Amino acid sequence: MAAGKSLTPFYVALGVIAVAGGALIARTAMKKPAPLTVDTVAPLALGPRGVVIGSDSAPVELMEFSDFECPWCARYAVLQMPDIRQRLVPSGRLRVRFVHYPLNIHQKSPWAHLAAACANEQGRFWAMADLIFENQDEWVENANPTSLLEGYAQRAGLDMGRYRSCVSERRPWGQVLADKHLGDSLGVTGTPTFYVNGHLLPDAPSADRVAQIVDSIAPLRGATGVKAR
Amino acid sequence: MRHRMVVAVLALVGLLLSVYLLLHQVGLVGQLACGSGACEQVQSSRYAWFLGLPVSAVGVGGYLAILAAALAGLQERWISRSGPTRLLVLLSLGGVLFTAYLKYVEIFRVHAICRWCVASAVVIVAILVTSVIGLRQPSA
Repeated sequence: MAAGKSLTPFYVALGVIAVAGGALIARTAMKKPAPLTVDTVAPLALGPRGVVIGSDSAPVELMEFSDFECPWCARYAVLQMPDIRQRLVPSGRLRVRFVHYPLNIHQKSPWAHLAAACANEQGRFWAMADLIFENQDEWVENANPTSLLEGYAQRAGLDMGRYRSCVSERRPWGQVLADKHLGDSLGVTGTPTFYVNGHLLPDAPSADRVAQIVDSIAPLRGATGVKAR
Repeated sequence: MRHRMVVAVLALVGLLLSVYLLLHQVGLVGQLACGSGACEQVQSSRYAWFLGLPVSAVGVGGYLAILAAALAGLQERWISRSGPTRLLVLLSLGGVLFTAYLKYVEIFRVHAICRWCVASAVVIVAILVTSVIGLRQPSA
């Protein structure tokens, strides 16, 4: 057939669709999130919810609602959180609050949250949480995640007798549910969801972004001591 | 010839949808989250990965292959042969089966329906139907 001539309008139409579609996607991709404004006064009365690392007197608090089975939470925990905890928490300018938010769609997540809450009873929450996130693929795919979680508890240095009794009695489960309830009351609909000093962030902030926020609020203003609870 | 043109247009639309979903999945479009928004929920569940690849990347590859086959089938060398149409049927059949699996996962595992994924499903079914019609035409 006379392909070159008769197909030209078709190729032009195809090109127009490609360009228009590409432009739409590019426009969406380049849309900037709403500007972030934070102040030093925490507007939320949180009470004792969540697990905290950092000084009580830290002027900035990063609060994360997180689900152990959520892939993006794991990615954030592995790629950003270690940097945040090592770079910003020891200076006393930032404390991090982890709030349990097991999503209903994740069937194995409750076991992981219970395991981490039990580790928290022994002051080893962060070590356990790191192991749970780092090995997410392993325990999520396993039919019986509790035995794998026990292995992580052992690696996190927990007293296994206390851990097992905690898990079997589900002692801290009420705390996990109370954390979830806090998220529900704030209108949290997904994980990870972040707040800085009680202000909702539009997305998951990188460690550098958190450092910028901390610098803008508390430029090297000292508070001392690092405490994990 | 006309069915291959229709398939090419549909494949391009599917490709754009998949690229959008892929960009979303790698965090370049919108917020990454596991949540109650249906698309977010589907995209950020572990079922959004297939053999180590984001499902949307599989879609990008599949639609690219269909687009290439349809465009090749419009070239003078192939225009009167049925080979390209047979290939289109084969590729789109694979796409429909993969889509059926994804729909099953969405409905019964994730319990959420992503409208972009539905749009892609409509596109791939339309490609299969068009290709089968093309195969039945004597000129294909």
